[in-house]
Amino acid sequence: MNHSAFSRRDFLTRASAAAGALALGPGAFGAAKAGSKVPLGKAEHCVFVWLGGGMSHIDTFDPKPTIGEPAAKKPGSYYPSIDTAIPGVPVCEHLPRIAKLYDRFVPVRTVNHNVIDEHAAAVNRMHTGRQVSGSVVYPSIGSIVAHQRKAAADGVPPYVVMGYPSATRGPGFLGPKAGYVYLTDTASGPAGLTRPRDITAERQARREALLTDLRGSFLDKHSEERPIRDYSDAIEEGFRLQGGDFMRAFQLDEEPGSLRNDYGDEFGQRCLLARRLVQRGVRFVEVGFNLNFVNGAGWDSHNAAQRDLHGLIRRLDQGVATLVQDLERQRLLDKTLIVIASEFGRPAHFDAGGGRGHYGKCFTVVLAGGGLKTGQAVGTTDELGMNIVDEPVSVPDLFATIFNTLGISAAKNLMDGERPVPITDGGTPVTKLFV
Amino acid sequence: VRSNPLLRSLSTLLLLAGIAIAAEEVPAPVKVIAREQLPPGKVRVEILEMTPTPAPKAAAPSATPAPVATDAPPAPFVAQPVVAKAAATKPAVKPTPKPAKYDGDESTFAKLPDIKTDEYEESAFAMGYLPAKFSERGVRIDRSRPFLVRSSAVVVLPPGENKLLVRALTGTRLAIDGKVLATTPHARRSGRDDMPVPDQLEKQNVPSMRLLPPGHNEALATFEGDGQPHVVTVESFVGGKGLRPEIGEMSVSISSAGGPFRLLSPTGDAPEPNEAGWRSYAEAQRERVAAMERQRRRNPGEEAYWNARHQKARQHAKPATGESIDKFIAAGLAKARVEPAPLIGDAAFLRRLHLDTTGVLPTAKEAADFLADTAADKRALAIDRLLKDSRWADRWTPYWQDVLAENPAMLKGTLSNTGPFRWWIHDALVDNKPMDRFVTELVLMEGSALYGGPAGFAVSTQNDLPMAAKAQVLSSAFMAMEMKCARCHDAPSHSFNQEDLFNLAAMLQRTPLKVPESSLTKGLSVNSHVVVSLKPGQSIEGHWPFKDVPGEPLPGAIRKASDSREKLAAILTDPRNARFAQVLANRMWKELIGVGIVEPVDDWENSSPSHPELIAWLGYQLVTHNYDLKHVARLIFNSETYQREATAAGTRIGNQDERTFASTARRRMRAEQVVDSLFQVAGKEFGCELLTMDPEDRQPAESHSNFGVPRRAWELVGLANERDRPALAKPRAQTVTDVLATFGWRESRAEPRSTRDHEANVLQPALLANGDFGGRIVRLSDDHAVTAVALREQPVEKLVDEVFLRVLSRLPAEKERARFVELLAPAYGERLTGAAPLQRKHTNTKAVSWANHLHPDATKVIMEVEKEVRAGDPATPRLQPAWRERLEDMLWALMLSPEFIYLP
Repeated sequence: MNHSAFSRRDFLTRASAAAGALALGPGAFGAAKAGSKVPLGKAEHCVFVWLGGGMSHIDTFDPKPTIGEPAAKKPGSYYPSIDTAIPGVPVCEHLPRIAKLYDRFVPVRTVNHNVIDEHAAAVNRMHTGRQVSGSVVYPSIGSIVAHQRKAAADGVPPYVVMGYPSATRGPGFLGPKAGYVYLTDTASGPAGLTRPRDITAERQARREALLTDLRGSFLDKHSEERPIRDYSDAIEEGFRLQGGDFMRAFQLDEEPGSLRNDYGDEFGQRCLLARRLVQRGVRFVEVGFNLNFVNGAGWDSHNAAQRDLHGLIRRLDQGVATLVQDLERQRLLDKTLIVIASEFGRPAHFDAGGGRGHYGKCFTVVLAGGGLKTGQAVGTTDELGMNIVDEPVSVPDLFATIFNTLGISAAKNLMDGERPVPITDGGTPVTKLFV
Repeated sequence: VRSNPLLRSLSTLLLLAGIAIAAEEVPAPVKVIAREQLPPGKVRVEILEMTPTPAPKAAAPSATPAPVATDAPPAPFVAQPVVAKAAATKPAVKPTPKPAKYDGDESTFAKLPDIKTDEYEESAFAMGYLPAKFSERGVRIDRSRPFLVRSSAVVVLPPGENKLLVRALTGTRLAIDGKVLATTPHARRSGRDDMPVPDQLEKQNVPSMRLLPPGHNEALATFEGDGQPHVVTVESFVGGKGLRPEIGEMSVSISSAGGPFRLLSPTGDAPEPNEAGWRSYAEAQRERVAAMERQRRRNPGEEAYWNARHQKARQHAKPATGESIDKFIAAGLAKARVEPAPLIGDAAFLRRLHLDTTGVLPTAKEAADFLADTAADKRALAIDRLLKDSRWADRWTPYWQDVLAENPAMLKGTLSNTGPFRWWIHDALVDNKPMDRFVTELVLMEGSALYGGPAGFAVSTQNDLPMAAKAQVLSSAFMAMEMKCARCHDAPSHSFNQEDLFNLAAMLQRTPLKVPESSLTKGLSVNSHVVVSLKPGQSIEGHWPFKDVPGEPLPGAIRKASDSREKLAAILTDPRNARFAQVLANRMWKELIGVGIVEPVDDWENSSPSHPELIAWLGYQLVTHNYDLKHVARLIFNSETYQREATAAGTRIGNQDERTFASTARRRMRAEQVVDSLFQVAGKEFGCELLTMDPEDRQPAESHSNFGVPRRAWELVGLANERDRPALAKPRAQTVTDVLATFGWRESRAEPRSTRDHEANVLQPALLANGDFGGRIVRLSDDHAVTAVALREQPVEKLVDEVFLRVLSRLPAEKERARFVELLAPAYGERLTGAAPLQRKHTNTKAVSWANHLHPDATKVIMEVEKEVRAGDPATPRLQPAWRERLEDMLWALMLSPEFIYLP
């Protein structure tokens, strides 16, 4: 049996990797405007922390001196702010650990778009960087990175999602090879790659022996047929993965107890897992933060959900601060871009239930590590965080920045079949983060 | 967007105080029906609609119920034709303003809907399914919101105290001889999303009954019986203002003299409404309703019209001579000097044919019977039998879902979503509608947009030019013209330009079409080979753009000459348009043989047929046989070309000269076939949740769809809630969609696709080998079909044979039999424990719904369910564990073998 077929870099598909067909034809159109002045970054991985529901920027990374009062309908931040390692750039008081490490961070405070009515469309915008189109299904940022950079090691998927699967996180026109492996629970790992608990090693051996005997003559008879061979190889590869280094990433108990405690509960454990996946060569890890048992609505803090928002913010602080320190210790921080993003922000005024609605005219996406020129903020908003004062960053610009950090030129085209599609919708990287 | 919280808290207060929000006026009396008017031993069911609400809607085409007097005899219930909004002869340039949204009326017993639009008989006062309403053309249409279901029957009520229990999702009242005994509250639209999570078991009156479904209420009454017949009437509202029109699980049960509750029926022999009783009753009802719906879709007038068209088609079709598929293929083989591959054996043939017709495997008995059959024409007989099988619709619905980009969302669709026109596709396939009619119905886009009519095809959320997207789908599906590029600029590698697509779009829109700026490619370099020939704001009138197809339909082909949609449909399906029939025949060929005569099947622009005479003849066959695609399938199935072995050479698409069809292609099961076949192997139901995020039915279909409880894989839908809210997860359905997705099914079908990616990947076998889905297929629980086989007294060799037939549709070879007998013979005689099957208890009795999903408890409940799903189905205690595990391992190995997922 030909095992080597799989030890190439394609994890999700044992395709005869014709994926190199990406070379741009001359005259490919619509490419980004001169992004070429910005030097390409050298980051190797991306940990994309997703705060589904819409993080309130003025209650976290763009706090304002004016404290609001829901009952009095007075707009403003919900929490007092504290100083950080970036002079003059405060964060809310529930981010104390991140505040101390803030020189490793770049809050981008002027991200903006106009789809705030419905989560699905906004989540799509912040994952694809594009408007929904009736004729093209755009790939997610994770799929683009997976497609462009592949996994950094053999037998490892390039793109892992911790959270619920959705088409928005999918590969769009790039096809299944650029897809993700997902898990909803750090303890059980991705579905299918972990042997069920009740199947002992002995029983697994019996199963595999039966399968080997059963399929032997079938494979002999069809040895010329690539699809059958491929599937059979995929079975073998699955067995090898079960005991392999990739699946060891999920054995979080290999880590010192003190470090695990430092990371905190399920969200922190996901951050820890992200580090272990990055170490094994995964390019892009989306870490979903959806601990909705804390306040019900998660980051979508309408109404009463606002009251316990700090419960989420504190967990975010603990998980992300520990991740930054841990990556630094492992000398991985410069190679790993951390992004904290959500589909939109929230306005300074309160709804009748004491929470906040959706807001898209400006909101914050936080970057950290990745070899960027950190320790500075990008963009300023007005006294209530409702309008951009300077340095607006469009969603395509944000995407161009992330791609550029990961060594992917924002001027590139992807191919939808025979059709070139610019990698971003005309975005340019934020220059000051690279020079 | 949420409702005002102040109003919400106000309504909560009112609810707490036990006050209905909408003040109920004085209820209308229950009509007293004379006993003689009711069918003996049966429940008469009438469906009554409201007088259409006038004013506010210059609305989208909706059906007007046929005015039938309430007491008219149950005659033909063909509703009025769907009057599509008339295309003005001189179309206005401005699109008509959006009609004021009519959201239905609040239901109240003070005002009963009184226009009878359907009537039929049931066996008991219990309803899990209602027949849909159909237009004259046989497509699903909406009823008034709300409508009323009135069930009445003569029932003898035993002497002494009778307890009567009403269960309903919506306002329902029970009356005996016109006197109301019990009423359940009306459902009202709710803006809440953080209510406490109710425990349904605590809510229900009788613990042994099936768990009270979410959002349902009960009302209990007592009635002193006298052993005499009485007229029982149950009136149940369905839907209402801002609600989906769902019946839920409506039932009346009776307990006499302290005995167990039974569903109330005139004959007194209806099942107990416990879990098993309700399921068996509802399943039988589902089948009855499906049969009724088939009948209701039939309309002699409509059929006469199509017959006349087909007669004309035979006269105008471009003749193509030929004798049989095999003759055409043999000629090519002789020329290329290629020897054909041998024919496949009977077992392989039956498995291949079953998957191609029903989408599932033959049963062990079907396989054994077919192998034992000595008739010379048994293959042809099997073909005829399976072409009649109604599961044909289940096999082919997912194909058209892909090709036509059916893309409904469960929650607030904003990602190029359509309506759920899957139900129309399925209906059309059940009826085997002629393909010209199928395409005409699709192009007319009539009927219900949100509940399964072809109007759902017209929907395209967040699209600046929906009809351009639809024109693109239609042209690739039925003309094999890939016009995707033309959406934004002239197609560089195709002969058509952007204006051609916009012409088709304008015909679909029924008005001239203004080119939006957002639809044009911007920022092209000067020397780009891509050209944008349209100008923003330019108006396209809408005419048939292609010269090689007659642009005027045959006289009499269309019924409303002024309607550009009808005209477009007639041109597409015109018998002189040979391309249409050939594209369809080629699609069928590709699905059954694995490689098309023309490739790719959806874009013929730069390719030629490998067998031009054959494709012409197949197209001619389709046109002259009433556009019946099953006729083409029958020709293919009966050919030796179809019945040949699959080889590597047959799998290569190559160029047209290389395609000799000396053998067939190696085809992998479609994702749906993998899932459906494995559930069939296990003899298990899917066990998925109700596919909606609002099982309480307190939300409108515009934001919350309900796809029901899936029975076949095509009924699944993408489960993402795009908010990452664990409380909205469907852990059971997720195990199925995970498998589907890894085998090539799309959770979002934003664009049409004719050929799926069938590359192997690690997760495919891994999910079967280790996943929760695979675990359910292999684990021998009490409800597993192989458990029953294992319990049977028979030699171990027979058991091995039967499992092989069941999973691989063949008998084991000698060596294989020996191997598995060796596995299962030890302790075979002692395998039975004599234990009773497990009593299955409710595990989770809390009802998570939209109304409470933001309550922290909702997340906890779903996390518990996720744990349960991971634990899997409990193993049967009736088999010794050590032996049972060995049989499970046999199933596991058969399922994992590549032989399982590749068609023979």
